Amino acid sequence: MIECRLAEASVLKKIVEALKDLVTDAAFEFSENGLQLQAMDSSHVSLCYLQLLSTGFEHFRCDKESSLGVSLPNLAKVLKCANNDDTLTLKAKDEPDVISLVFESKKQDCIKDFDMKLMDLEQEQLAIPDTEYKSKVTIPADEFRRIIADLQVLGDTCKITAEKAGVRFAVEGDVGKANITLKPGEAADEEGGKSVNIDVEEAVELRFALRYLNYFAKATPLAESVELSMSKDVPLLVEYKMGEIGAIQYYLAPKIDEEDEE
Amino acid sequence: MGISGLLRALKTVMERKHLQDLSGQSAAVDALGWLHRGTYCCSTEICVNADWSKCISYCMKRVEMLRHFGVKPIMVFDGDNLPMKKDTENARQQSRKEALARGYKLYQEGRGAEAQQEFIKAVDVTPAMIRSLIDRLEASGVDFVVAPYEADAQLAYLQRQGKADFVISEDSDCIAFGCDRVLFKLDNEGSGDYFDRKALGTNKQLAMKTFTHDMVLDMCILAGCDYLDSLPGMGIVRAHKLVHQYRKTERILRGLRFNGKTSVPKNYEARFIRARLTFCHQLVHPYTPGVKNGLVPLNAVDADAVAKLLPLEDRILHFAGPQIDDTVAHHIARGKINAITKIPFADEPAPRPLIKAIESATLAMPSKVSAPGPMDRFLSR
Repeated sequence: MIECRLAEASVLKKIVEALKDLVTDAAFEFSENGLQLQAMDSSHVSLCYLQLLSTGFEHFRCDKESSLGVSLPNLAKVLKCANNDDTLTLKAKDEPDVISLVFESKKQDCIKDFDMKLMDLEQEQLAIPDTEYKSKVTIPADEFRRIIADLQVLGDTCKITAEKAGVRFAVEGDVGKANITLKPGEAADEEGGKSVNIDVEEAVELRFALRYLNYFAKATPLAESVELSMSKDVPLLVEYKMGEIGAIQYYLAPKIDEEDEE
Repeated sequence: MGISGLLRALKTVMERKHLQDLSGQSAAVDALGWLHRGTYCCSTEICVNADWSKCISYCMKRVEMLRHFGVKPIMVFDGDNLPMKKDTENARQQSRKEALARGYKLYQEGRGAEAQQEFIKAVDVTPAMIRSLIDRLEASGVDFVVAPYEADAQLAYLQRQGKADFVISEDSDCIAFGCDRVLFKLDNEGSGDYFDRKALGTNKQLAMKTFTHDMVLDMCILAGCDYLDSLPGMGIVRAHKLVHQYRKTERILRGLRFNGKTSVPKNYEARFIRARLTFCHQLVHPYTPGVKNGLVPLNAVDADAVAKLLPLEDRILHFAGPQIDDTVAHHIARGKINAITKIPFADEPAPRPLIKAIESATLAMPSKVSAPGPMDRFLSR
């Protein structure tokens, strides 16, 4: 039996919004330590990994490890029925066919109870090889979203260059080209901690599909800042840390340079 | 299933026999046919509750009938699907799923009788059901063996090795596999149609006096079998005519292509040879109680002859059943390991009623499996 309660439904709402465009069907893996979800998008270009720790819940109980296959777009629709400040309780029996979601209003005067049918998903456990990333860049999350949206105007492939001096996002398309450079530490102090932080051991330059970066940016409401980790020829890691409850990590395969393909 | 039209064409060879006439002999029984028929009376129970006890009792009743008339049964079960039949199996799986969905709907509307008809089409004989029957067989001391692949090949092997005097089956395939004596259509009173290869020459519809087993096999494959669909317009009669005229496999195939009446697809010959080799050399379990043996081909493989027939990559005859480790094969034959998943029955989860899958799937159907992409090479599984 599974029973876990979040003080605010908005957290799960935002999480599902951050995943549903990338992944349609995914399995929530519940264990006594919390719940996690790992899935690739339909074209296997990216992988997302969500981890929520039991300590981040108001109440968390999971007697038996179970995997609940859920359609994320449908879950998003159900969650739309909850107010942001409702408490949210997830419930499932052992070997469940359905997952129940209970929304209770702050004043306890309205209780909404939804059952969602589960799916039988063949779950393949994928392991992401541990990588020592050569460069890490921390950017305010909304800044990152803005950059991606702006660059998408001009093209669909973004070249990210991380150097000690700064990080550059460049795009080139039929219309023209654009460069956005962020320098470390400048915007700091005034807005309190919201600054660009660059930790580069070795300069890296990689190319990525903007479409996927845009999907990742859907997680912006979940965190103040986003961390991009890169190394040559390995996937980009985009991580949104959500305080004590957990994190969402996105991995994106780099685009291979044309000359390499020949 | 089986060879199209074969049994009808051999009607005059069949002799009506009662089990009493065969008293004192041992019979290798195609258990799948019985299990299948057993599911008719309890298809709803199987789909809704995963309860197939009635089906097992039906089979045991038949076993008891054999023993009552002094016939010693050896029950033979099907094992894994052959690689070349995976497509057919997938198509069947799909139509079963659809029948299950229809049955479930009718069941929910309370139309039990109609639902049962659909459920009959939805039920498949699973290794778990085979395992339940084996439990009962073991308890009453009846011999049995689970074939690594198809039961028909195993039946033919047992009979050829003299471990069984005749075969009880519903499937005309067993003639193609080379069973010499077969009791077809055994009814509840103990009578059936008895086929004896020796009487083949007396057949009235199709003259087969001079037919060798190789020729019978060629005729069966031409007429359409599980491994190869027949050519358009080809039935048992035309197949017989061709074999009668040309006699040898290569000449038959050449004659077929050059008579111009039928359009023959490009790879027909290659597929014919594969089908033929599958009938001849399918892997079976040697079945010597108490001894652990590896799998053997139904007929010894003549490597030189095979080398002439096949391209290099096919010479290990993987289409006639991939080899299985000796120990695993032994445990499969004894019914300890699920022949399809290769997991010991003791470790398998309890079978879930079929409708469980529907109940959770009616609304939520997972989207299709996606092809690998650029991310895959960075991940380990």
